[in-house]
Amino acid sequence: MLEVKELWKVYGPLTAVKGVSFSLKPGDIFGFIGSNGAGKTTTIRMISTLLEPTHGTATINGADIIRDPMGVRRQIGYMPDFFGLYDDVKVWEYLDFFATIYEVPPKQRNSVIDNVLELTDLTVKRDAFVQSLSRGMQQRLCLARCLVHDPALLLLDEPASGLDPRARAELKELIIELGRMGKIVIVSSHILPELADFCNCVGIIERGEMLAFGPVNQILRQIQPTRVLAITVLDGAGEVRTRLADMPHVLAAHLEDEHHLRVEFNGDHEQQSELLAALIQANVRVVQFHEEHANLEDVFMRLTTGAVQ
Amino acid sequence: MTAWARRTVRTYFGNAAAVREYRAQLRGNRALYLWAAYLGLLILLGGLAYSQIMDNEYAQSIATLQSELNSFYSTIIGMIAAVVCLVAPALTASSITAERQRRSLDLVFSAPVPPRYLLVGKMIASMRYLMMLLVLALPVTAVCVVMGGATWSDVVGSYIVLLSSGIVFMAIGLAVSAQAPTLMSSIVNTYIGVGAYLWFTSIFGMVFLASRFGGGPLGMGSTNEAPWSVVLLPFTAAYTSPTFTIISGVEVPNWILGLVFALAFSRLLLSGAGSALSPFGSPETKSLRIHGIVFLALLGVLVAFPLSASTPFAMLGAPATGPSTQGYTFGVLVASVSMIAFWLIPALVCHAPDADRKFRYDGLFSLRQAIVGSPSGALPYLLFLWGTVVAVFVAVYAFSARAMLGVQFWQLSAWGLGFIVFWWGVARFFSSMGMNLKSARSSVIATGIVVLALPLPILSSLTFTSYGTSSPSQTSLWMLHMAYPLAPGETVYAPYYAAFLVVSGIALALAGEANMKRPRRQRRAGSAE
Ligand SMILES: Nc1ncnc2c1ncn2[C@@H]1O[C@H](COP(=O)(O)OP(=O)(O)OP(=O)(O)O)[C@@H](O)[C@H]1O
Ligand SMILES: [Mg+2]
Repeated sequence: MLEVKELWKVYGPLTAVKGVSFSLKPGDIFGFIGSNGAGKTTTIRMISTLLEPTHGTATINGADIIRDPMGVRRQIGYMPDFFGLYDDVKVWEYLDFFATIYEVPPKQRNSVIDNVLELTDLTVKRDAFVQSLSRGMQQRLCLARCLVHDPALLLLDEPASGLDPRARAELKELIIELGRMGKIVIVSSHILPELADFCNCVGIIERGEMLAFGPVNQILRQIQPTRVLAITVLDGAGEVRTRLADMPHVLAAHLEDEHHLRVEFNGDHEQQSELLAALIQANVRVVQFHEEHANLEDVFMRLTTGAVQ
Repeated sequence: MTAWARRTVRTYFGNAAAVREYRAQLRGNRALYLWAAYLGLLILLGGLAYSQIMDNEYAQSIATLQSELNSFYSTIIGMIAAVVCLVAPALTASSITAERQRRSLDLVFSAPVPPRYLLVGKMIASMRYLMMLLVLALPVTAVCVVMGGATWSDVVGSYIVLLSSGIVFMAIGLAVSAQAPTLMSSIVNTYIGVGAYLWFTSIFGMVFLASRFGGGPLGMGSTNEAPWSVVLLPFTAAYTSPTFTIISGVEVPNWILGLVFALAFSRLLLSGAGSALSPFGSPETKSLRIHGIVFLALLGVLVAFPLSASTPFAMLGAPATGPSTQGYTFGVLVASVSMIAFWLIPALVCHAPDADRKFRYDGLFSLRQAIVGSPSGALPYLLFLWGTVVAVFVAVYAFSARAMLGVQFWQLSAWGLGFIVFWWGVARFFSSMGMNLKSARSSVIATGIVVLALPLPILSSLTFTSYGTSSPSQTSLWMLHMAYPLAPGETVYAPYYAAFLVVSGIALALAGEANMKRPRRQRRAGSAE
């Protein structure tokens, strides 16, 4: 259980984070979205005890980031957006170093290292030097490092940057798997469609303020209280449009072309099915009738442009 | 307690940071070539020095030969000392800064390790290098022993003196690199720090050598009794390692005392490095503050014992002994410690609105924060330091000379207190003006230079009293008494200066408080409300 309470970070005249609060439960995969300089890294670093909040705090399973930083660190795995690896050691030695400082008992270290190498698909590189790894492999090694102590919370700051599409897909699988294992995963990213797929929860941050937080669908509904219904008819679309305009809960109906219509609708699902029934009864030859989902990108663009004064 | 023991064992044995560095060190042939080159150089230089000495045609009698061999041995030790001075700081000077620049420090500190773990790991790894340096030089020093220039116990003593210096240098490197923003500044400042340390310790070493070879008034004769601090200078290790200090009738080898000092001092430096790497209220800062007091007390004892027993050190200030002249000597020491504390004041006292919580305004004076380490605790902590020195001197003198220190001690100590309070007030005042931390600190230092250092050459050039007379020019200017009331005849005025300094320091601090209370300042502080 992660609870973030009113985190603030002030850098002189600039306030990087302005009272961010949210809470996550085990299994949650949280997508942290924001444009450059929005305050994602700052927030993540505060949660990982590397940066001192100006106000506010966060607790992870009862451990407070200010009062018990060591207790917090035992439960988190942090992957920074930029990082350097010790390049003068081998992959397994690197992981052995972290297994030791994470207090993994000596007897289990080897099997733990093998496990995380397996999980991150680096087994073949076990004896390679860290400096000989490609950027993407180093990224995965850093992730492997975060996993040696089986943390309850993973803070991944733009983990997908620098990965090829295939590695990205694998990373996604890995994160989903970690969520299934009951970990809380926080992933920050700019690449929005990527997050929408596997995050069950997103937060949009802009200029240090959390503009929206919650499950993806809920945020979509918040941002778009009216639904958009896409209707495809065999013929007579213009006629259908005038008919639709008079129907209950229909705010507006637009003609896309001679087959397609877009209807702004503010009723609930029952009223939506009544609308369809009414169309059928009126002998409109409906081919398709479905609700159009706004995607995360739309939401993001709308929310954030609104925030810029 | 068991948790503490477990943590300590974990820090010193199987330290992962040390293991990692060790693996990297052993890799490849570079280290091997380096060591071979070092050994070759040592043998070459040793051979040169040896042939120089042996070529001396007049070295025929056993006695001269013996002294030639002795000097050959001390040349070798001096050479190793030079290598230690060059290499030991380099081993650590870049370590933390390099990790910070490589961005690998965050990875380590997001794991449950205190900074101390990493610092000790680096110390252990560098220590292995240092040991290698000394061990590889063994063949050359063994030649000295075999030929009779030194005994094995001399070699052990000298090696421990060299090792102690090396430990201090490595700790200086770590302490600097924990704070330095760039590799360049880290390396430069480390060598400046090492230079300052050598400069300080060479005072002790030179006094000793002068007494040994000049046969002057210090009168050490041929016994090996000497103030312990002579072993702090590594270059003279061959001469100073056989010396001892008599403590309660026991001859304690000075290299033991030197090692104790080196360990305590490096511990202090490591706490400083740990504190710099930690946020507000960290155990590291508390440890640093407590160690600061303990170390100062230890140093006070180590200095006060030989002083009260009137060994050669008495010559630094007072030729004769007795409570009144020694009161003056000890008083000068307290005043000097207070002056050195000037360099602490910007770091301890200054606060700024944009700084970390460690350096943010939290009131004027709080006893509790003295150990936690925030600006409101600065004055109480400085007073603690001052009080520690005063108390230790009084206690040691009472113990060893069975007398109270003379009135001059109290006069000069009072002035030291005034000096501290005054500069505290200056730092509080500058900090209240809403500038950033760096500017506040440099303002204090700049003011210090203008007020303390500049008047000396300027004002003394205005007076025409020549040096060497009984009334040196500086002391005839009343203004400077405020800054240097150190002339033996002038200490009666010291309490008045002290009162003036205390009052103006408090006034400045209160003016700063008034500044802080003004709403404009608070808004500029960008507080969250
Ligand atoms: N040490 C610092 N001193 C001053 N300002 C800082 C500091 N670190 C970050 N900031 C500022 O805080 C704001 C938030 O930065 P942050 O790195 O959290 O953004 P981000 O959301 O991670 O951006 P990006 O997507 O580019 O990584 C920025 O305006 C940045 O300039
Ligand atoms: Mg970032």
